[in-house]
Amino acid sequence: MPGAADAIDTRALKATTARCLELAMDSAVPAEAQAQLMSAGRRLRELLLEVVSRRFNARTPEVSAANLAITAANAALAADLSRVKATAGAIKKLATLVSTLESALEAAAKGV
Amino acid sequence: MNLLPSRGLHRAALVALAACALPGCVTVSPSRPAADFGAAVSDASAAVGDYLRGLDDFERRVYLDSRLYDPRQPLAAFDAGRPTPLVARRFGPESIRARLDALSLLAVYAQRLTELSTTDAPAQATDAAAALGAELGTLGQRVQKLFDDKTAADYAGPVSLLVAAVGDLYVEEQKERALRKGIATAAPQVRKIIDLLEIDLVEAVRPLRETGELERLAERVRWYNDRRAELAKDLDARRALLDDLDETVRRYHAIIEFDPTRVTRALRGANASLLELAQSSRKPKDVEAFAAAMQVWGSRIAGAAQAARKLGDQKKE
Repeated sequence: MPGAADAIDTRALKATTARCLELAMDSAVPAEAQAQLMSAGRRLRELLLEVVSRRFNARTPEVSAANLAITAANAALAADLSRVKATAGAIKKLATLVSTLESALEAAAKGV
Repeated sequence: MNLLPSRGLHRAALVALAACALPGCVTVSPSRPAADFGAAVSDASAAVGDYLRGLDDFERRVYLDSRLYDPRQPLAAFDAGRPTPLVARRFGPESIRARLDALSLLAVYAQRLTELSTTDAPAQATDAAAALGAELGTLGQRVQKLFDDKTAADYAGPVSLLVAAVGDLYVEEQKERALRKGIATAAPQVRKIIDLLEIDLVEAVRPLRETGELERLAERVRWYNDRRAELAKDLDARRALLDDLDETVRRYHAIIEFDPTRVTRALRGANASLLELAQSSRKPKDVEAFAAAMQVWGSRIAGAAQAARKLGDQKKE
């Protein structure tokens, strides 16, 4: 029953599971009771696993949506980096162009 | 035809350059702290990723331990049609993939910030612009010879300086604007991913690891006590069992002591500090405060990541 599982307090379930397992190792507890507590602890932990794994999987769409958003943000950052580098590159090209023009003018001056 | 700027324009350019150099006009780059944030996030993401990847493996280990120490328990791949922890993938592959993707994307975000923060494009622009300025000066002299304009040589030097400064400032401003925009846009998404990861670690991973190690411990203790009589004459067997028990206790203590929120709190704090800096006027005091905060957050992230990594190694026991 999915509804019932959603209502389970996993903190309380975890605490009860741990308490059963601790008592299963307690020398003050009679042997037969230790065995029963060990069985109960195992069973409660199986329930804990079932509930938390179900909720873990249920949160996945939310994680995926956040992933899409940050993917877009990362793409924008990459584009910005390209623009910054392109500007530096453009200045370099401009310097080369001016150098070429200067050589052409020098040649022109000799020819005058 | 006069291709050369007038002396008036020359003086105006020098005044503008001097104004830009005044301390009141200077903002400080957050490049270095952003790079530090990038390195810390990448490290933490790798450690938490290992932790998440091992969830089903750990459950199989707990299941097999109970069969090892209590042979009365049947070994089965399925129970009434449902897969047992022997073969089950309780934490669906798509779910794990989404979390690993989230961690990778956090690391990519940090890497992009680092690349943008540390690009040497402004420095390249400075060199290129200086060369451009020198070329323009020389060009001016050529033109002077062609057109017999005697003012060209006067502005060659200042033009070189001005072009270099403007080129550098423009590219640096481009970079800073991109950094601020990128941080402001991504920060809410980064917060969301950190929040979701924290829920996973606190509500799923830690309770299962803690009770799982406790169950493994209880199996060993009960098995030893049930066979004390037959183990009484075999010191080596008892030593081996108790050494294994000791290692199990160490694992249990490690998970008890590990606080998964250390990583997420530190990531959250670092992200908030970065956002605060990006939205500030970024005067030296703002950057100093951020750098100090990053030192604290960075060392906390590194420490928490190291602890998570140790737990990831222990799961192989």
